[in-house]
Amino acid sequence: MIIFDLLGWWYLEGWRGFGRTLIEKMRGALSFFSLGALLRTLFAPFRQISANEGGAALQVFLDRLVSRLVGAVVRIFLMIVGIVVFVLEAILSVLLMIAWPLVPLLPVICVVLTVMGVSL
Amino acid sequence: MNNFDPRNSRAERARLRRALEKFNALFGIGLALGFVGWFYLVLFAHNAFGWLLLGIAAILLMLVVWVDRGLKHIPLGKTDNINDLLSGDTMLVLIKTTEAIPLAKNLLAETKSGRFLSTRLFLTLGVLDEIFAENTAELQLPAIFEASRVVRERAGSKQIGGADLLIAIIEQCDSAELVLKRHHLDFEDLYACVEWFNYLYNLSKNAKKPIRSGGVARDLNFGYIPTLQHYGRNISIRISRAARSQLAYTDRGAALEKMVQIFSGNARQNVALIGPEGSGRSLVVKAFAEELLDEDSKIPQNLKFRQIFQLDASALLSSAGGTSGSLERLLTKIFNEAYAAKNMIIYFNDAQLFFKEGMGSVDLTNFLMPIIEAGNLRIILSIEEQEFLQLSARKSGVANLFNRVNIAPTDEVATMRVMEDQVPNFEARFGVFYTYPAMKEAYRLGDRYINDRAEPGRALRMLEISAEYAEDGIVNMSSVQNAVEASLGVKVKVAGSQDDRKRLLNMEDLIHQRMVNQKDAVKTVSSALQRAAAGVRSQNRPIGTFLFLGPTGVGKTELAKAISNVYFSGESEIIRLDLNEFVAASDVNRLIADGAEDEMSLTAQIMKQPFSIVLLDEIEKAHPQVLTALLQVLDEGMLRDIKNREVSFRDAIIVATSNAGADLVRKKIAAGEELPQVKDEIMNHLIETGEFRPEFLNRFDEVCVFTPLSKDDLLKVADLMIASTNKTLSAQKISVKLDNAAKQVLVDHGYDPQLGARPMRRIIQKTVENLVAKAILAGKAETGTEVEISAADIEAELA
Repeated sequence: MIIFDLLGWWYLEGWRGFGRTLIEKMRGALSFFSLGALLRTLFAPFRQISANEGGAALQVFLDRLVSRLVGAVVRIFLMIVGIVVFVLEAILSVLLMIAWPLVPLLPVICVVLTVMGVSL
Repeated sequence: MNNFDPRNSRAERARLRRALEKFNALFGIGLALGFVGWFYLVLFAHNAFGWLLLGIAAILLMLVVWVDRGLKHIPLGKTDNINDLLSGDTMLVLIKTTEAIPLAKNLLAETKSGRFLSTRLFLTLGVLDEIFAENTAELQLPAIFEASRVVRERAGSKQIGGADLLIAIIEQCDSAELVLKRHHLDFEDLYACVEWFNYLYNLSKNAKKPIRSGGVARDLNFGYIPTLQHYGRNISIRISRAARSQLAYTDRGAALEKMVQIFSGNARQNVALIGPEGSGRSLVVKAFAEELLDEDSKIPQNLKFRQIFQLDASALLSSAGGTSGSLERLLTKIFNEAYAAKNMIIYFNDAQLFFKEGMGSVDLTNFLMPIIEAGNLRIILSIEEQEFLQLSARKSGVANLFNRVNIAPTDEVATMRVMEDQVPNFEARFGVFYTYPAMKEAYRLGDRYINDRAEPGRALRMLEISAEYAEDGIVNMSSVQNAVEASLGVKVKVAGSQDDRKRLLNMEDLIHQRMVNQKDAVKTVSSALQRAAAGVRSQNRPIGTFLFLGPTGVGKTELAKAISNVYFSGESEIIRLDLNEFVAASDVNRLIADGAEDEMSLTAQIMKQPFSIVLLDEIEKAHPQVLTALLQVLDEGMLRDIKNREVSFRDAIIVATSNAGADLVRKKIAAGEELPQVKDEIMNHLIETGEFRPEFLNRFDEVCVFTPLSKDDLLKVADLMIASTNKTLSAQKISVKLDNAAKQVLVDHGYDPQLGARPMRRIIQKTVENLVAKAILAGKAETGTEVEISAADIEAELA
């Protein structure tokens, strides 16, 4: 029976596959914002803009310091945006994973609501 | 194990897919309408009926998702049972019929891989009909399934697809091999096409997988490179998996691994990619760029996300105004940027342009060497072997500064695979369709006739130029042959037409129409060339190699011309070298000189005209080193020119002539001995007297000894020469006629046993041609007249 085949797939392979897809998507977001790399290089000079190596030692130190601070600010900002996006995506994924097994129940629920004459 | 059950669960899913996928678009539209309807009815119209629409939309959603994600790819089953191994579309065909013959036809027409085989190989239903019509073996389904398991394994198919099962059926037919041969196919081609199909299928599947290349944080750590961006080309910018896939498919991943190893190590991080033009050096660099930028690649962390910038020599030269000082300043700026950026690898493509003075190149050796020596910059040099050797010779120690990675030309299997990888790109670019036999022909002809690059560049070039000669958008074998004939001026269709075959079959008679006597030589040469034209010859040697021995004026050169006329349909295909001009060891260089410097060198001439007669006159006078160079031509049908390019003589006929031993020939024949008996004696004489080395004589397919001409022969020569004069006069509609007595006078005066027929040409000029000229000038020979010349006229003219 087609209905049993469909339901069998929906609750086994389908659900598993859907989960994998969501995890891949979250990995994609993680990779796009490269949170690990941002954290590892938090205080690295921004775009390697640093002192003129031939200048005075103090000048070199200060230039490098500024470059590192700019880098840290940019990275922290990107990390915050990345974390927010990632958390939102994770919440959405959990909701979708919960919603997935409910989809086959939806026709039955909808018939009941129609019969009951529920309207918003 | 080998019993197909049409009700098995995988077959059921395949059936469901077929039934549902045609409605999938409809399901999608219904789904959208359902949601919109629900939204409107429940939220705006406050109508409970909207819930029903949502319920229907939910069912449609499940169907769409199921068809798209669940039924589209039916995975392998868990057992070794045939029902768990067959692909979905193959099972759908099997559900219709399990009779071998209709099954084969349906597999060809209705499965993806079957259609691929059909179109790429021209394996039509007609060919299948021929196979089955001539087959006497019994075709049993269990045996076919068993065979299909072997096919699957050999072709590397994940499941038993339509093509695998089709090949298994064809293999069971005892007539298959013969029928396939009739259609220029064999089982290897079938297997190769299935492997090709599998490769393209996996390629398209993998192309959908995203490549993670570092995200937004990647470039924050690396510096700005405005100058480098202006003068260089970032080859890491458009990253896919294409180059790596090709390297893996063609089994050339070792070069990539070595590059990763070198750039991951602590030693000097630079690489000299050394290989001939066309061997795929750029591909290895592209694959390396892909590997570096792929977050998932298994390379050390310190190598990840490095980018490769290619420096363009011409752009740099033109910007710097051509002076090496300004160029050095510009390069210093670029290198400083690259160093400061921390993630740059500089790629010098055609590196020789930076290391030698010339048009479009500048010698920066002294500037670059300290930079390379310092080891601060990561550098990839792409250069040809010869250029690298020259550079090493000019600047000692250069070779030690670089880590060598050799890129060798591909063999036939790998070249075919490179073409398989590239054909879809070519098809998209040129709007044509390449058949597999066309690709094989492209390899064969490219390998033979394209000398300026190595494989796979040769084969790819052939595919490129063949696109223009597609017939109805299809590039087949003859398109490739036509492309070679038109683009390279090479005739590759020998004995193709009926006329050609007839001409070759009657070769002996045709040659005798212009040759007097020398039956033995003509017969020997004709038989050898007939064998060659029929394909009964080694493809790795010239068409034929002949040594013509005999006195002067007996027809040796004439036979070479006659061969050219009959075999190549013209006398312009003769490349003639007088070897008495090659008497010094240094003359070898003139044989193999580059065409740009000496267009008359042997290699330059044969490159322009591979289908030729190479006539080596007076070979006994050549310097031994010249003969040694020619040995390679006779033996392997190839010679390396001064630029180390392989030049093929495999479509040439080599004819060497020599007067050596002429006196002995004359003496023996005068003593009444027959030619076949004296031939060995003459050869031994030549070896004993040191005129030829035995290994040299043995390299020729045939040694033909020409007999001196008798007076009777000379009479026939006179006839031929008078016929030639008449041919010249035919434009003025005048002809000349000599009676027998007149001809006899010509022979009496033109006969010289030492010089053969040579004096006869002079006598005819002095007598016959002079007499006709006088008659024309005196107005005695008008258009349409025949000038009669008697013996007395000739005597008078000679007096």
